[in-house]
Amino acid sequence: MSSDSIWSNIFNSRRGESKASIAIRSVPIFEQLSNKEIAAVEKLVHTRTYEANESIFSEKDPGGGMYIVMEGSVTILKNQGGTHEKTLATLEHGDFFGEIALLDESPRTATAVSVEDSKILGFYRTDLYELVERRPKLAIKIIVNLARVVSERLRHSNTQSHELREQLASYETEQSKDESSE
Amino acid sequence: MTQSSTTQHSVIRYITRVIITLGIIAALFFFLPRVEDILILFLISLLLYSLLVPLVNNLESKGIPRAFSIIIVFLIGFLIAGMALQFIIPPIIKEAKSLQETITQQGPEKVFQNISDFIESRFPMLDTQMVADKLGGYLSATLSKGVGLVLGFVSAFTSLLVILFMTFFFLKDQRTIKKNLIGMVPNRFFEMSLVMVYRIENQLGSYIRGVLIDGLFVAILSSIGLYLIGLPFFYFVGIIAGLTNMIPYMGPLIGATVAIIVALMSNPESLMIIVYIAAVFAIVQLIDNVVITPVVVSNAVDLHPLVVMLVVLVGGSLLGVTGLIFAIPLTSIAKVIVEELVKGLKSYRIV
Repeated sequence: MSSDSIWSNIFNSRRGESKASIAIRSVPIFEQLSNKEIAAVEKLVHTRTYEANESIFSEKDPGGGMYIVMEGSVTILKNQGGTHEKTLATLEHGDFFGEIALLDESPRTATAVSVEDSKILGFYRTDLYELVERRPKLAIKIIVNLARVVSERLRHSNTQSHELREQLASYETEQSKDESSE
Repeated sequence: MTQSSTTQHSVIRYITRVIITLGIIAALFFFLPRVEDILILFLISLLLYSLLVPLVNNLESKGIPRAFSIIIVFLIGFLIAGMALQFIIPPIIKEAKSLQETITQQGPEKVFQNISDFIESRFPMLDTQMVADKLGGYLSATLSKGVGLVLGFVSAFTSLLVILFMTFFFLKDQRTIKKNLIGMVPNRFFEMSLVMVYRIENQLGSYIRGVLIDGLFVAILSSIGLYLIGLPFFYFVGIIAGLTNMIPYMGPLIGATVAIIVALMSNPESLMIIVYIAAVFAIVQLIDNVVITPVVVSNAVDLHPLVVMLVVLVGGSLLGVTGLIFAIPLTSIAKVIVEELVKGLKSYRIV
């Protein structure tokens, strides 16, 4: 409806806001940042264009930073031994990946490949370090958000690992019951 | 397009860029002696940038906008420079002018004649005449040029303006300049380049700041020591000692040699002053090596003595006095860049 679009234009869209800043705002790591702070992050991020099938980073490469998909799509692949690769996820506009590399240089755990011609924003560890030096308050906000994202992931992994352990224990109990009955 | 052909395409693009860059570097080497003055201004601006950037960052981190932070740092710099102009610079200019006059009037040939007479009286078997003539001729040209260069720097108002202008924009737009330059790197090497540039910048920044602070200490200590032994032009020789201190192993020797030449020019009869000068330089070096260098200069850029000698000779023949002073810092910069480049390429399994 036309009236809906008028209201949505008034309340939802941020006039004059660039595609990059909209994409940045959609990422939990940049949550609760003011317009000025988002603009500061936008000045810092690097807009990169990837062709279809072009690698963004490869598994085991040292991690340099995180990426936000602005246009196009990206697949995350995990090597299963030899040339066999398993698709872990396909990411689209507003999705982000590789955020752990903001914390340290440990090797990438998966490969990211552009599915089609894509425009991707890169926010790197060196950019974060520069923020720490030049705008520590903003850097702290980002680091706290990053810690929240990582802790959520850790909590999720803990729950999964707990469930798996329980499943394994019940499987072992059933097996031992079967063996004793035989 | 397959992934391998994309990578191949990006590698070809990268190689083309590397060839163009090497061409530019080769052209620079060709034009280097012709654009020496501009290069010096550019290098001084970069040195000032390295020295001031932590102060500007610190003020910015307190919430002061970057442009204002730079202006504040510049104003403090002007204040210090103003005080220096008031108390230190006039005697230096006076000394440098007087020294230049002494060089022009007397010439190191005469000084070397004095030295050769002194040596001949004790070691009659040595043919010192030829050595004295050659050394005297060479040093006369170099010293006059060196003194002229210092005077030129002090008096050239336009050069100062250019340096301030360049330093201001390096400080203000460093992020944009860096972002635009790195933006040209192909995707395959982008992450690696960012990390490498950051590391190189950090290492070089601390190295340059360390060397400049170290040089300043050596200049002050040498000036004090030379004043105490009664050497004329002690300010000027102290500054030379601070500058040449950037050259490992040979730097202090060059500084001491200049001091000896100055001493012999002003008073050829008193050869005892050579012993005092040697003692001053030895004490300054001892303090520098034991106290100052370990605290302020990073060990990451240690160079082999042979490399130091070769590089200083090449720098000297390419750019004269300027080359002599900047050869080691530039080689150290190149060493850090190459080391980080190799480390980065290895960790990304490119080589």
